Amino acid sequence: MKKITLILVLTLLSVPLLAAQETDNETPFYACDVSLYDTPNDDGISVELEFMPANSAEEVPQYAIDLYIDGTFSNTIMVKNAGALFLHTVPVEKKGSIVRAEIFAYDTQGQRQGPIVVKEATSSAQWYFSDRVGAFIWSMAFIGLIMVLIRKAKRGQEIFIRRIAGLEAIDDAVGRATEMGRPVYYIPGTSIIDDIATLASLNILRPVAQQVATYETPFSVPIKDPVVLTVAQDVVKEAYMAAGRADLHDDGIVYLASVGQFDYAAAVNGAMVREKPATVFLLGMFWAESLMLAETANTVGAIQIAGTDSTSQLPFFIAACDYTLIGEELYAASAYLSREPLLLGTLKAQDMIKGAVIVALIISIIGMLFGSDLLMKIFLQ
Amino acid sequence: MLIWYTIAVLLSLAIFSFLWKDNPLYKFAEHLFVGTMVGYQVVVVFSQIIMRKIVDPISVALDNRQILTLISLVIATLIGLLFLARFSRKVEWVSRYPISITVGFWSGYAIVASFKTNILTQIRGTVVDDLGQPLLNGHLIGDFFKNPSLKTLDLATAGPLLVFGVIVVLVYFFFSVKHDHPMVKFANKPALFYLMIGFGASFGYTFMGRISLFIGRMNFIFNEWWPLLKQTIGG
Repeated sequence: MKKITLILVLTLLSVPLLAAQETDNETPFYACDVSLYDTPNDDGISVELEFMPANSAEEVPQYAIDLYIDGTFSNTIMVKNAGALFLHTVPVEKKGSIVRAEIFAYDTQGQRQGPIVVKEATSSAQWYFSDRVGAFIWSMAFIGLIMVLIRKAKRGQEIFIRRIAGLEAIDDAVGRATEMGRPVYYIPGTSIIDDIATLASLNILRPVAQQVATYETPFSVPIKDPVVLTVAQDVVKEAYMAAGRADLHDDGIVYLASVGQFDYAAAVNGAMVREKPATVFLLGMFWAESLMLAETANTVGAIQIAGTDSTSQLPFFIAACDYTLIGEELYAASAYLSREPLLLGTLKAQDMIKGAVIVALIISIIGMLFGSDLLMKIFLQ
Repeated sequence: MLIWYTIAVLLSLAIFSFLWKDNPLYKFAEHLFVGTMVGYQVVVVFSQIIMRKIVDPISVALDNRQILTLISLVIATLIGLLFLARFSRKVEWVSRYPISITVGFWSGYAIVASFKTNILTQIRGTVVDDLGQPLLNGHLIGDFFKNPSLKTLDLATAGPLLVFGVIVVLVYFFFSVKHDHPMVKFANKPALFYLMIGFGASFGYTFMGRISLFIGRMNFIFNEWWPLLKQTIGG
């Protein structure tokens, strides 16, 4: 009897437990994967939120993410359950801010459940942009190589540079203008002084101006940018002095033609048509005005030596000009013409880095063929 | 409205007249264009640089007593003003300082960024595609042999052609190696081939852009100005 009573009591006690268990089985299991972390490589003004729903869209059609910054409610983000990763950057006003994300699920009746997950992260600033380690190492290697090779060139070690046709033609082009008694035009591109192509062009301007001064040929350098004007004036003045013909130098040789792109082209085209130069140098950075200038120079019968690193304008120069310096040939030109140890060393270093780039490329490709991107990560971070 | 449209049409035609020969109409349009642009730039520089980058920030810094900001702004302005030294032959040399600072800063600033964007990202793009899949992919070549078609041929050859092209063009731009070096000798012709195909495609693409600009101008003359003129004259 005692046993029967005990069994009855235990059975009665277990009913609510079983009922509770059944209720648990009926309750949907709300879940998601959430990461909240400080944004890498920033100055502490944001944290990143990654959210991936773990329920199907039928179970949970929508989630809500309540965001708190330093304990104060900021905003709610509603995320429709598309079964896909949801990424969001949470902006904060200062570094050291604590961001809390509370995730709620909306059931099929539209009832808000939760918070099902709560995450916290603190924004922090990084002193170093780690994404650029690879670029930093390559840059250091390049600078080191340049320094070593400049030293070698200064010691008198011969550095060979192959023939560049466009530069070989400079003598003939200036000579032609002298014989015809017509001016030489030098257009150092239409970009600003920070452009590498403009700097390369100004380096070439000096030997050209020196030769023009030696031959006593009329010279004209129309400029678009005021800062380039200042530098070009100095370069030409020094070139005339170096040629021993400071008496021929005139402040009007280098002048500001205009400051806009197409008005500059219109002004230079007009000048070319009126003065009919025998030689036109188009060296530097150009945009849509390149063909206008090259075509006009061709129309007036000038010999044209062009060069740019703009891949979109090179085809026009190749089509319309007599000689074209393609891309890097423009950078090599100043070393080629001046034979200065500083520039020769830099050119040799560029070649060596190009060799290293080819080796890194081949090694990375071989690594990828064997299914490993480790080598690529090391070389090309 | 019609007056402004007519002026625009006449100026367009004056510029186009250069295709015939240099003439007074073109000269007028050219000088007007240059003068207008210079005047416009003066206003832009005054309102966008002198006012927005110098006067306004200095006023704000003064109001808020931000001494460090004020000092940095004043120093930068003074360095910029050194450009004006060119107007005096005696102190002309001073204008070289702002130029040196500008060129020096941008050269240094650009080194790492250039390496990252112009070299490392480009090489990475030669090794793997946007999805991180290797461009030299044996599976794609296998797919072509299993199911030969133009699409599978394109997928199989695009990667190897790109890799080969990048290497030969890089070799072409070696300046300190003699032409008779076997590596340069081998790379020379295919590199020129690649370059000319690239330039040809670029030429065609840009040329079409220019043609569309011309069509845009003609569209303005015949579809906007001419109907407006007819409407106005017709009452």
